[in-house]
Amino acid sequence: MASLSQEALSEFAAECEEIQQRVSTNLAKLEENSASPEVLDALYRDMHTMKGSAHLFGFGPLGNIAHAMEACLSALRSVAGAPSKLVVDALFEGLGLVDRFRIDGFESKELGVDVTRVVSKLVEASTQLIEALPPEVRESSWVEDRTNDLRARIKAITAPMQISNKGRPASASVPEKREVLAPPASPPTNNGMASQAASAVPASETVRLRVDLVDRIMNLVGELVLVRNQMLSYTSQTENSELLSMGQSIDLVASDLQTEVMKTRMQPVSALVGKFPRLVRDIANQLNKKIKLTIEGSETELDRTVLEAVKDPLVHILRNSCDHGIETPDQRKEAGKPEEGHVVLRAFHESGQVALEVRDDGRGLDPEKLLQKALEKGLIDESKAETMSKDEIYGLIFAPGFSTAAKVSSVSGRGVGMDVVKNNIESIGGRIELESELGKGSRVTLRIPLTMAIVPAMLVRSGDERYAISQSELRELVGLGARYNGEHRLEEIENAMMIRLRGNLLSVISLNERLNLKEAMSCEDQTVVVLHSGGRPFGLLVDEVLETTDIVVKPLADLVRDRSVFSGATVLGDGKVALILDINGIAPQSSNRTAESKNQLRGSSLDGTSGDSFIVFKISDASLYGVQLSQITRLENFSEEQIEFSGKHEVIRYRGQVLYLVDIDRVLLPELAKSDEKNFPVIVIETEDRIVGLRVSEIVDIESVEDLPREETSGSYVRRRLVMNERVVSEVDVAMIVDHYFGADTKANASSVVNSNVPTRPKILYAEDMAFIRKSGATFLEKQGFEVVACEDGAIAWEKLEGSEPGEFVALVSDIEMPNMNGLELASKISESSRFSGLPMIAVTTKSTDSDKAKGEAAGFAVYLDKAELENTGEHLKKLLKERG
Amino acid sequence: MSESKEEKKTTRQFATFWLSDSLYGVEVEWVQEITRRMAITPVPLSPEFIEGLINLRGQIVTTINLRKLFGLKGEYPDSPMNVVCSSEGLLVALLADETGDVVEVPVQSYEPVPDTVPGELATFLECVFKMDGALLSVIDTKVVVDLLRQSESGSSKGKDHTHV
Repeated sequence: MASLSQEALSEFAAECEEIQQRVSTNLAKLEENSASPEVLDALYRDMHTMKGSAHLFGFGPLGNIAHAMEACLSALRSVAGAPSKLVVDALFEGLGLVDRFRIDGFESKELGVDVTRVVSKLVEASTQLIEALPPEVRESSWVEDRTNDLRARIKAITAPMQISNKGRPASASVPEKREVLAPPASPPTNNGMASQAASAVPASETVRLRVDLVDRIMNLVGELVLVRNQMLSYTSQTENSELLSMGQSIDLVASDLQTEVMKTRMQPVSALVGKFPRLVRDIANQLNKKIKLTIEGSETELDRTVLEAVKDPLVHILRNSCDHGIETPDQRKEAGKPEEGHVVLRAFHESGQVALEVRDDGRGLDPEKLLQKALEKGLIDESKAETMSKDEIYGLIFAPGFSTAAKVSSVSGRGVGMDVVKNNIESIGGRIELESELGKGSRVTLRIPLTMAIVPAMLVRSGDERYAISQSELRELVGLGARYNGEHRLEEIENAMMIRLRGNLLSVISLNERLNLKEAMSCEDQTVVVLHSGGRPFGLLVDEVLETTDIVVKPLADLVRDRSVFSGATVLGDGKVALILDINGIAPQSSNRTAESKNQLRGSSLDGTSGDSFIVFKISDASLYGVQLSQITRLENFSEEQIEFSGKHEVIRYRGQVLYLVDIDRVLLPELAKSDEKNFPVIVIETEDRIVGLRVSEIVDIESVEDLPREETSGSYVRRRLVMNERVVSEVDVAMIVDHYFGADTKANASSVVNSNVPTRPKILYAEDMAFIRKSGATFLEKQGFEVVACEDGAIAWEKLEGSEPGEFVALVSDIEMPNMNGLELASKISESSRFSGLPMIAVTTKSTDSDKAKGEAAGFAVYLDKAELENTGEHLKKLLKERG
Repeated sequence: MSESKEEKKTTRQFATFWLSDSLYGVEVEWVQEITRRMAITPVPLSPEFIEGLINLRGQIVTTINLRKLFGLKGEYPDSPMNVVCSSEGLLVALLADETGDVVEVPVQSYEPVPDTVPGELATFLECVFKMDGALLSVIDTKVVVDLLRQSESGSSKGKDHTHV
């Protein structure tokens, strides 16, 4: 307990008070209207935090109250509708008790009886909430999960109550679980001050400064750096040598000042991690595990605001490692490991950043389990699951609503978990990486900027504007075109661009395209900026690379930052504002394109060749085939469900047209059984009279061929055999295959199929109150071939629907939050009406927590989308319409 | 900031400006300053009504095209005015055709927003004051701030992007 300083205690008290105020406001909201999900989430998060902090400090009773409140709120989150009086009362009583702890002292013994009473009441409230759920909901796995979770919590909470109040057993308690929570360690004493003073530096050499004063100085220095930059861009053009030298002096002084002021804000990591050994020991006791914590590099310094910001995430990660990572002694023995688990926390400098690494030798993450869990929770669908790489699967941990522990304990929470950690880290410009090996352990690394205030950056130009990229994310620059000997050039399959870099394919994104700017100049003179942030490296194509400079990061309004393309803004030397690119946001999302997943080119002899390029693919016999790149329109992935039949031919609706599927196996290997893959890559080729898709097993590579000796073959579907990288690739004759496949008959009826398959534009009703969203939503839908009738709110939409001809509207797309009549009311009204029930309905909204979704679905929405997916609404709609026939 | 008016509540002060020949007002406490148009940095992919960002002595200000926000027709003059407002640490510049005076109006002349005002505009108005010769439409600053604070996407990363 000696490590618990008075300072930390007062910090905790302040935090408690803060939380208490927020919770009090939010509970009042809860009482007066039916609970909005945001409010519930906020409440839940706050109590979760308080629970964690209280346990961290060893304030068991307070932690238990917080825990019970958290559990109750957790149940409340899954229940639709207004909470009962019992629930609200219990929560308020809990809050009142928190207040008394704060006033009487957190280790107060007198309150024990009340704790038992209030916890029981909260437990009762939670039980009531869960029982109120309709049985079919309760049985579905997630509620089951939560119920069990809650039961576990109730046990965990009430058990220690028994210990501290032997005379009065709490009614709902389950005594056999006594070992779950160790009784709180001895209460903190107030002699922290004394020990602190003893270790302090002699008073004459230090001076105490108010933190806000330091912050203010830091801000001013930030401004000074800006003015200096402005001045430098001016003096660099001047002829006046005196002015020039003055400019240089100011530059030097400002740089030194900046460094020194930064130092005043630096604190060693030890200030943060000092509490961790205790934390780990307590957790180990609670879980009956043996865990050793080693801290390395605790002298590493970080800006105090950054330090503050990583505190909670780090605690969370550490808890996760101990709770989910390290196995029980028995399990460890079985696995041939020492009984004692080892967790290492290491802080170190790396390329201008500080890395904080939590490494354990526990069980590691099981990708299969993660996938299964994500599927269960509906975070991904099966077709997505099959295409995910290992890193992407690990990334699921950071998805909202994900928790890996099959059981939940008081040690690491659930729900508000790693997603919050990730958001916190990213909000300070850091990033989080996760590595794991099944059975061997995991490593979570936080990469944090030294300071949030001033960042070295590179400026690039795209279109007419300049954008800043943080140097920490920058790997290298690759010049394109003749100026750089033409060594590197962009290669492209329709929209997927890539370059070859030291034998690897690197996918390239055009900044102009990403930002919807007009293409300003030919690719010839552009530069590829190679960036690396979290995922795989990628190239960003910019019009020009300008200079490197220090920038002061200024926040953006949420709505402006919204598209997660920009992380902030800064003022440049000439006084203009430049946006800072959020590299994580710009990075390519995982896709079906080949180049990103199959990026290993064998050997380096291919660089700079000028021969023809081929798409190399495999079919069921696993030998290699190729099609000339120039013949190909696109590469796509389709699934079995998308296939329809037109006569005897398999077709897929594709961009408003019909794509004829050619199963290349059946042509080349008629003796083999038909492949039964559910998802398959397709090479799309446009011929004169139709669009054809070659169904293949796997797309292997893009390769070029120099003028090598080749063996011509005749009279078969293989045009010639080519040698690429010491492998034989058979080039298929697309025209011949297509002719064989369709015979002569399809030409004539191709057009009739198109006509019957592409109906006149189906009409849909679209309700959305925000004008600009309405407009862009309507545009997206129109692009997908729908006729859109847009309405400002639910009431207008209902009016329009009532006045419509039977069957005039084929579907409804609606926002949830709208004036007059909201989306839920509208949907319920439609579902209940005899005329329109069964109308397919899609919600597109910002209210997308699980409980929102549940409400939406209850009201009759078949699909519930986040507004971020606005542009995909059309596709979802098509899918829905197809399902409904 | 707004405590002083709580006591009297007989009059309210507004900084006024003209837009499409109508008079608009913003609560004086909210207005930080008024500037001529400055060099502006557009924000790609943002909603249409976000005109861009300007640098006001080192502070980043989000500029709002009120015409597009309110759904009004017409164009701004070559050199529109920035009515820079500050709320909860957020700096917002409202683009106006021309600025007017600071007016003090008695609270009795308060009228709710008439039903005939089109929806987009009505959302952003708090009320209307009858003045001699003109109606003063008061912009509900809270709605504007909330709009800028709202996050449309939360986390759009990692969503299932289909390539079509």
